[in-house]
Amino acid sequence: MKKVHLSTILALALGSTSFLAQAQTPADLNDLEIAHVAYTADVVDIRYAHLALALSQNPEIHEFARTMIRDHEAVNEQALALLEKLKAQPQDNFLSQKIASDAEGIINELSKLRGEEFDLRYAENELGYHKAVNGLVGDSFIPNIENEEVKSLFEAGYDIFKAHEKHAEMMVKNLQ
Amino acid sequence: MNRRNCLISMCLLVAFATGAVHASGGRITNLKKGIASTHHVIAIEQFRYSSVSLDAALGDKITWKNNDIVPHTATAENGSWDTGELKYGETYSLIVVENMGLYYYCRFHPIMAATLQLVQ
Repeated sequence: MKKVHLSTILALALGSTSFLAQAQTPADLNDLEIAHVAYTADVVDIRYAHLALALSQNPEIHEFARTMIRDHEAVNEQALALLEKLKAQPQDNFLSQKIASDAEGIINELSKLRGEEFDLRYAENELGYHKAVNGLVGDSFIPNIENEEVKSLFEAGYDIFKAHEKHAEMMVKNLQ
Repeated sequence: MNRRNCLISMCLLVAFATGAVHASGGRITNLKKGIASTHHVIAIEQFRYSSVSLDAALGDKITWKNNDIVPHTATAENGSWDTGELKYGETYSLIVVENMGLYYYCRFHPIMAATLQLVQ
């Protein structure tokens, strides 16, 4: 069960009919729920990054973690500004709750690791996390977002997270 | 002519007199002191530099402009120059000089890289 994390949950959410019977699918979320998921996913990755800055001694990990904080904060700033402009509030939903609760498990796991073991696990989690979120954003969110401004922000965010995924991939290779 | 238009006209006259203004496409040619130099503008968009390999001559001016919502840098691999952090909409310019680093990358996103090619 070591690696049952966001990617698994998202795969379930995207593909399991039994799971769908109990909750909405990502494709059913409205724009404000999608915005809430994205904001939550950003905040979760910022939490992972702060943990990495606290526990890792590896300069490459530090540089990556600082980039995650800088970029995700910038995206959230834009998202909040857009929501304010649209006079809308993001809406909590099943997927945001899953992402947040799953993050607690990952943070507990990472907190027990040190040294190279922490670095590799953090890097692998970043790779898996960005892959999962990118699958969600590219396959479910962008095609279904109705508001053009929100869609445009997600398209910009998608470019950013794809770059993060490549960066994480490079980091994992360097650590192996 | 009102005071504002008068000031604008004076500025343009000074600019032409010093040979500083001649725009053409995405480049601006500077004819100051009879030496033709070019102003290159490199946009940073979607985690790419708009020119991956730019031909530039000594004395040319290069401006980087970040159009992404996240910050970027353009940083010489050999450390000889650095735009510093460029937030959304910010720009940084430098003049091409001898011995400057020609390979550069984004310090925040090392998957982004580009080169300058020195030409005569």
